[in-house]
Amino acid sequence: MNLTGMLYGSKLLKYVDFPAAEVLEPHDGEEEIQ
Amino acid sequence: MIKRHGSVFIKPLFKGGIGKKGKSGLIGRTSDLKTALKEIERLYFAEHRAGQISAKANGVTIEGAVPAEHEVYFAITNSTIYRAPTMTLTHRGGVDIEELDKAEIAEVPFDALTGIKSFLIANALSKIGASKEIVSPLVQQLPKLWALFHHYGMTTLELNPIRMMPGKGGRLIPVACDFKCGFDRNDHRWQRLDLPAQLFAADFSDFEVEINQLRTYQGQSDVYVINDQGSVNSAREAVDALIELFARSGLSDARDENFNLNSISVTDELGQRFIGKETDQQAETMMQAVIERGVKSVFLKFLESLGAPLTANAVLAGIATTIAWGPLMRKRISKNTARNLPWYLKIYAAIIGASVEGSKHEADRFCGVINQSLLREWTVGEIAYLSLMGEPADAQQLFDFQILVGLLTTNGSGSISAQGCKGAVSSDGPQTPKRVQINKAMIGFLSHTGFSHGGAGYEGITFLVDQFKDTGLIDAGSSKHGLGPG
Repeated sequence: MNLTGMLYGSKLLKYVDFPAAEVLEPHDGEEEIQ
Repeated sequence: MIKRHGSVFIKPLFKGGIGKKGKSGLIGRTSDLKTALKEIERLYFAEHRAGQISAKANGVTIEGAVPAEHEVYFAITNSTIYRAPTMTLTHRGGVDIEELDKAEIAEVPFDALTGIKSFLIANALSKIGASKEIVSPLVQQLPKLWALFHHYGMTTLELNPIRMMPGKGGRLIPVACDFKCGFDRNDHRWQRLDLPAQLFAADFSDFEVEINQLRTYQGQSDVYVINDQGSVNSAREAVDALIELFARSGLSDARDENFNLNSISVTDELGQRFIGKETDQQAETMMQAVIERGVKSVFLKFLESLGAPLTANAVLAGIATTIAWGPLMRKRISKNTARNLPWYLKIYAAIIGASVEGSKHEADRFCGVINQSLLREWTVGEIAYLSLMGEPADAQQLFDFQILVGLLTTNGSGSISAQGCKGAVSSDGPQTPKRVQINKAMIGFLSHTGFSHGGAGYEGITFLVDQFKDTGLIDAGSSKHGLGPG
């Protein structure tokens, strides 16, 4: 079972407090992107 | 996000793991909303192939850009070379690690009990000539990743790139900008991570989902049918269909050709299990051979009555169900044994075929006998004798051979060869017999049949042949053998 990408990767890295790039959720809108 | 980070990356979202997205032009970077929306539209359902894996995206992620001068690659794997967890580290990250000079890559095995110690990272970075300013932040942060790897059942973990972002006072902070990991599905610690179950849905076939539901406990090893379009399954499904169609028909004798087939109604779904898209030459040859042998079979008659091109596996299923029907109705065998009978027949055929050298396999004949003759006249016992002895058997030889084969294959449930068979399939789950693989059972049987134990008798037969070969003995069963006293 493999997992790629920061969407869940950043969540996993939070478990050990490792800094990760900010990621928007797929349902976030234009305001959040801007 | 664009205002905070200056620019953003837009990446397609694939289930499971698939790499090399950047090289395939599947990562967009922009610093304005209009382009960002266009990139989202382009990548939302993007298709991607990397090696043998192909995938279609279902969504995108938008990630803030991280300014940095240095990019680092870091991975933890269980190395089969060192037989230990191993970290791979380079200060030349952000590219395919295979493209780098080996002198720029540190590969460091470590003890799983102590984990990744700071000095291992410091030494590794020093050895590959990494810039001093990145050493201290990495020494501080990277050991945390061992905790993630170790505590949540991972088999691999890869961060590439980790970008070294200047923080307050110019001190660099390692920031993970891409993530890849693999989990051991039998190590249930990954479930602590509260990841959505559908995230791994693409990794499971329908059959595996069924098996997981049947699991009696976590960690049980599973074997599953890898190729559900393989050479056996359609025959088993055809047997299932025949049993389902005739189970309540009152048919007691599978050779009763006076049985009224009008009482059998076939749905399209069941009918499809017997019918091919076009004429199958093998099916026609088998059916013709059965007719010429004068075989009576309700099931074969039923298949013919469908009036459509049959598959070879459907004909095989018809033959197998004819053999199995009586014992099945008398509850001497289970339905599962009946549906596996085509599998047994195919394996027996493969064993007989494999017991002679390739030169005796010709396009139109086997061991010098033309195929049509084998199909229409020969019994399996006669073909097996021909394969093993290199000559056709007469009636007496055939009788002796049948007795010998009977002894070999019914050698008592405690024999070593039978234990090999049992051992080979025990990991398939005795609780759920449908999962047991017959071909593996056969391999277990063959690999556990040796020189000395009961049934094999190789050395015993060799000894007796040596003793009697020059005596002129013609009939070993005759009381008037003429040898010695008596």
